[in-house]
Amino acid sequence: MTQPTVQFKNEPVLVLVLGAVTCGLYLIYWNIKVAQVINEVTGNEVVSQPIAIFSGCCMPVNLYFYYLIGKEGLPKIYEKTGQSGKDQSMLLMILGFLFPMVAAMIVQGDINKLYE
Amino acid sequence: MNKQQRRKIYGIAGALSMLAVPYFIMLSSHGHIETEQSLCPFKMLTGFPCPGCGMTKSIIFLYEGNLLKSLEYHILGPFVPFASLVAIVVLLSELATQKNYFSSLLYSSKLAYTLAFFLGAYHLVRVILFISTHNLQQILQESIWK
Repeated sequence: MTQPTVQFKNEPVLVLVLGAVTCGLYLIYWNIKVAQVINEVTGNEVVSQPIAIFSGCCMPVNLYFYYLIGKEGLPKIYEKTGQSGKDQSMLLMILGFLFPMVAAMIVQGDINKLYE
Repeated sequence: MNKQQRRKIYGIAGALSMLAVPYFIMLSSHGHIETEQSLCPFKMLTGFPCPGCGMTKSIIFLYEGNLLKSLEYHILGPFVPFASLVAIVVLLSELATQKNYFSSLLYSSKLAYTLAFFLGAYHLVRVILFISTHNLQQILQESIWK
């Protein structure tokens, strides 16, 4: 499996902690990096980076962001890492709506598998 | 319908809800919007603002014609209805003509980092001001634990 050129491996718990401690400031950076990784992995412009920066907590942008990640981004990651494909868009949208930092933690966990 | 067209339709729906939700909240708040509990999950839990906090109230004050109050709640708030309208028009045109007009702008890393820097700096200043002007009791009052 070829790893993406964009390096973005983080401890998922760190995403949760940094997101909370910085009052969402870290999530602005995190969203840009995730958009970069997803776009590279899918080989397509799935997530717009300028829109992604508002996805940390802004409704309904965060729902749109997590829908795209769950529907188009993560299945491609599962395919590349040899995992069974599953649609996580609904789970991510609900978590993104209620606890955006927890949704970010789950996405980070799946992205990390690209670098194993 | 292919994936790109579906994404555009969701984009239009998102932009429409950005315009409509504050409008309906304005209609139902009966002029008490400033004292209403924030609907941001982070603020509800911690009392602290997130980078998007105040956006809805900012748009409501813009709808009411109070630009200064709108800017006070969120510096980017007054631009959101304008950006949403532009997005709706552009996405509808792209769907109708099967062409992409703003792809280079929409997927620009440079624009993303510029916006991120601006939003980050604004949020940092806002959090510092918030902490310096609120005591623990006042911070708790912003949350659901009051």
